[in-house]
Amino acid sequence: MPSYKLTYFPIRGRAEHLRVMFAYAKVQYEDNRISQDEWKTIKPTTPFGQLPVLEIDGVPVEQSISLARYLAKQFNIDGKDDMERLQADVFVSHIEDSRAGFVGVLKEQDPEKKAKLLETQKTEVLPAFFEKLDKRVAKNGGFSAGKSLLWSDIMLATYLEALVIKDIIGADFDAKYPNLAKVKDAVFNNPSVKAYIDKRPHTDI
Amino acid sequence: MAPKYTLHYFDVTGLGEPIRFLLAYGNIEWEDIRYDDDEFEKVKSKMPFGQMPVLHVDDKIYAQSTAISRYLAKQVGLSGKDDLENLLIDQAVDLFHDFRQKIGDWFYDPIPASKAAKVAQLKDHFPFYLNKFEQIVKENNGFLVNGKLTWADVFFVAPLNYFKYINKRDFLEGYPLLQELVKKVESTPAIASYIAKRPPGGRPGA
Repeated sequence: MPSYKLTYFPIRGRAEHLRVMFAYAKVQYEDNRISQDEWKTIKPTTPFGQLPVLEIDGVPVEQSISLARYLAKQFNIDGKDDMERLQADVFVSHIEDSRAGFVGVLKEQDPEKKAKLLETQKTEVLPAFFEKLDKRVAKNGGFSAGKSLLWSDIMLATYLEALVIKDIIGADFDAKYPNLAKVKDAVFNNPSVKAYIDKRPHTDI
Repeated sequence: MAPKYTLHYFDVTGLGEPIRFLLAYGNIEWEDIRYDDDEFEKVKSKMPFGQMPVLHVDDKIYAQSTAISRYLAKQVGLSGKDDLENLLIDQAVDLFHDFRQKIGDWFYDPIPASKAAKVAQLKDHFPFYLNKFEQIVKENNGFLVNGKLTWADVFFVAPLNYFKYINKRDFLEGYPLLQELVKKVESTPAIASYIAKRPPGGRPGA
């Protein structure tokens, strides 16, 4: 087993799915949470001036989705064959498209425009997306891509968690999208994931 | 028996082109269905997430260009030799994704004022990414990963014409190694013969 060191800010953000994957697989890693000041010092030493960076036996690699796919393979949650891996990739790509659209709204500078765009996300864009995703999971028999839990399920669960924290999805989510709720619960009720979440540092985002 | 492939995409290179390049590279026959905007509106609701490209593999239907490309790369022998090489390929592909996403954000922004504001950001954006890619190709002996052709190179080169078209300029000027990379990919025999006979497209040059 290689040594893993994950460097990211002290938030969930773009690294939480990796931390949950480590927890799910019960694999040891160094969870290196750094402050903005520390970041200023090490930023020039990182490949693209971005975090998270995962060091695998000392070799630094960036890009959180690439890293997730790599870890999924190591942890045997990447799919049982090429078709299942393709399905998982497709599912994750849809989530990343949705995330990109949502994050684009958060970056809007004009407060009035931003409020309007956020409302559209809440009432139109995300519900239409979740409806399709929910059907996909139902059709696939309860998981995002495989017949058991894969990394694409973890990507969904952590995305939903991020939207809950930002108050974008509320208490009625589980009733509206029961299949997605089931995936989320399968991830977060996993005993080792639960153990990680119980002891992880509390963060607002 | 090899599966039957049908690709649905607009009549441009763009995000459909890596899929076409990979199929061509593998000498795989496929049906290349090209849509203009009006035709797409009519079929949009039938596409899994209302988007293209979409690839039919026999009777199954798949969306998402990167996911499809990764799958096809595996079938045609352009994946990495091991997990770490695959990680480096994915890393390069994701970086390209970051690069092209900001270009698309600008181009497709319907609000004139915010579109104009994005022009200034793109000024720094191009040299930042292109210098990095040039450096990566330098460190990897003429390719994006480990000195040999992988699907990362195909994914980088195939859609470039479209991004050059919407920018109305050849942004690879001044990046000799990236220009070399384009030549290497496009002169790969099976890809070259596809390019020689590909349709001019609904928006010539795109």
